[in-house]
Amino acid sequence: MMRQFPANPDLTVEEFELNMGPQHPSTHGVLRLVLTMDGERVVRCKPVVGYLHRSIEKMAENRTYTQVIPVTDRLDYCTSMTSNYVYVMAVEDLADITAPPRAQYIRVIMSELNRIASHLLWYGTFALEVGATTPFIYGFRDREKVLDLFESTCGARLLYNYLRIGGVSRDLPEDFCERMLAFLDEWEPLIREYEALLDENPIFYNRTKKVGILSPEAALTYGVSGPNLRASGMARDVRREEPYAVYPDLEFDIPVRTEGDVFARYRVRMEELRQSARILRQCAEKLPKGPFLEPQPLRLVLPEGETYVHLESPRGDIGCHLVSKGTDKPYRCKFRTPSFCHIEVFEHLVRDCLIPDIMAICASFDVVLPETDR
Amino acid sequence: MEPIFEQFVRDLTGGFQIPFWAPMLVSLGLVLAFIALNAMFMIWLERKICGRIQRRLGPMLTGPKAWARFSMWTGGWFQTPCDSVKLLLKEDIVPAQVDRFGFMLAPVLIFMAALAVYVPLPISSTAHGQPSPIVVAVADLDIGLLYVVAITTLTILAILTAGWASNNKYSLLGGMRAGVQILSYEIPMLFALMGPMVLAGSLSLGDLVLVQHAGLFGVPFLGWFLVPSFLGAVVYLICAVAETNRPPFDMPEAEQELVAGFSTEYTAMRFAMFYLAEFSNTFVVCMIFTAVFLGGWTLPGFVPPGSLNLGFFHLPYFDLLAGMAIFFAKAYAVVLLLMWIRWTFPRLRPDHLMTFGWKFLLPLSFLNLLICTVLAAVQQIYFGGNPG
Repeated sequence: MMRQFPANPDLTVEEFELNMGPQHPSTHGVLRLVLTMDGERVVRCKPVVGYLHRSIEKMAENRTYTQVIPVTDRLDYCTSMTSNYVYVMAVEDLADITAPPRAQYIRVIMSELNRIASHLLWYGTFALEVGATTPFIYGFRDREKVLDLFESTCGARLLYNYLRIGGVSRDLPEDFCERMLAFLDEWEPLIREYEALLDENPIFYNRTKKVGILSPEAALTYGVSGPNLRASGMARDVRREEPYAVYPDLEFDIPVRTEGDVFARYRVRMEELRQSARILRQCAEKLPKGPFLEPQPLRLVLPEGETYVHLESPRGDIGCHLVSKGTDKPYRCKFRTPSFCHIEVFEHLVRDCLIPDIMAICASFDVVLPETDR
Repeated sequence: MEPIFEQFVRDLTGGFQIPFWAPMLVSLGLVLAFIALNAMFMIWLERKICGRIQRRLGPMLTGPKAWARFSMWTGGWFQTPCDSVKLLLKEDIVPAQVDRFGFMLAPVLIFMAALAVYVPLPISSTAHGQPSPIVVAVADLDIGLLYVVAITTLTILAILTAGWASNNKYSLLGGMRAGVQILSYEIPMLFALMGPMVLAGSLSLGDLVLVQHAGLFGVPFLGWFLVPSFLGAVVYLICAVAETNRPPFDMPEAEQELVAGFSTEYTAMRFAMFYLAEFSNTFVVCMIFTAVFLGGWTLPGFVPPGSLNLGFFHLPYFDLLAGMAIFFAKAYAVVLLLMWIRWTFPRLRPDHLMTFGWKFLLPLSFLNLLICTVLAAVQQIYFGGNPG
């Protein structure tokens, strides 16, 4: 669109299209933003998704119920545990299987450890997006220790394939709780270190405060969930509202901020790190003895019916809609992923922002593209 | 440079009169060699410092293995030479759609500016074989300070050219950012440098150092302009970081936003030129800071002898060498400070830099100028003349 330059009518100002992504250093994978720019200012933003579509849902239809679990790993590589979990939860709900209590605790431990790993990854990349290089290494350094715990449990560091229908694939190693507590003791003070790098820095403050403000109404309209919703002043958390597993027995707070800006989203996640540590300590204390798996037949046949379950992943409310036609394979397995909803918000939020703000806003939502495209 | 060089050659050859162009050529060679070697060392140092801050080791594998075993600071010495060779051997690509002239001009322009800025920088002084101590610089210009500021501004011109000629929207945005940025820090920077200028009553960098050595109000320890012109020093340092496009002011090449900004389309040696110039300019602003605020090659109350008699060996030009050691030690201290800043801070937003420059740095530099003027007046009235 051409328009006249106000100060000098002889000159015209032209908007231009900037194609940010799918290959761009800070679009977290393959997100593509088609930006209409007026200089540095964004006039319109159109997110384009689908570059990482691997037809996970379709693949699930051709596999037996157990075989789908490793596919769900690829749903969101930053939190494979919760992706496993939501699928397993749907199958168990439909088959009316209850995992033994020890398995329930192990699942919660894994979910929360994964939340820590995911938030640390987010902390690093988010700081990188606002131009600070060092926090990235700090986040990754400590994430490695969480991954070590995972590795000792299920042998994998990224795609765990750990949860099973009716429990978990193997028991925790003997010294797991001690090592986990040792990690927590060592790591919890380090959260202060992360905060010291960013919180008290006026540059960071200016970059994030009052940037990308998401009102609670808009957040609900777009289906925003998880820490992003809680940063907009809505204290909603699946772990609290529809408690699953052993969450009712555990004490934890739900951090809420009312500002709804990038800084609030950052603060909420930092507080969640502390809450996860708190949950983990309680789990280590309460972890019961007993079987970790209620073995299921190799070809599990589910009764006809459908179910929708959801849980709180580090990114938000992840859901699984599972339809069975009474065979050993899902008829339909649909995932409701938080990142997909979050990407939609960009269009609304980055309008009239500057280019650096796009990065700060996109990063603050903790979008993971494989989860968006599935 | 000429008198020292002439004296040196005369001493060495027993009276040979060098042609008038020889000092220029030698200076050019020395400066070129210095830029290349110093940039290599700085890149290595930067990576090591960055590694230290981020709890890593930095490059460790290239170079003698035995050294690397000793400590992280002795490993990876050959990393930057290897990188340079790699850059030399890379294919030189000029994309089809670029403005060829501008595209090829920009790296030359930026390197030219990086080279030319060394002319008035005084690194030492010597009294050996001279009637009076003379400043060691390629040429101690009378308007050295002004010259330096003017030449470093050329860098921005090169970045603008590169951004425009690259025919890439990210490059263009990067180039434009550099162009917009310049106004918001160049003006506070000039005013910050005016403080020391008023105190010394001279624009020559050599004079500035000598005045600092003489001291303010007759007290040598007050002499470094860092003390009377503290605000100016802070403002200059901030603006200098902005001028060299180093983080947290690296908006023209903000990786997370503009891919690589103005240098997105550049490869091989053309890219290396930008890189080299960036590190060279970083060191130059540290040298300027040292000369203008940290007393250059001098230490308060210390005058090295023109030559040192070691008994078995008579070391000429001792004051020159000592001065250089002091000067580079100070300059590298500033370099370390800049590196510390770089690896700790997030990046500013371009409009924040402008607000910061105009609303904060500029008033601060005016205040500094006022303080310096008052101090210079006091000096003039009660202690007679400029401090020098």
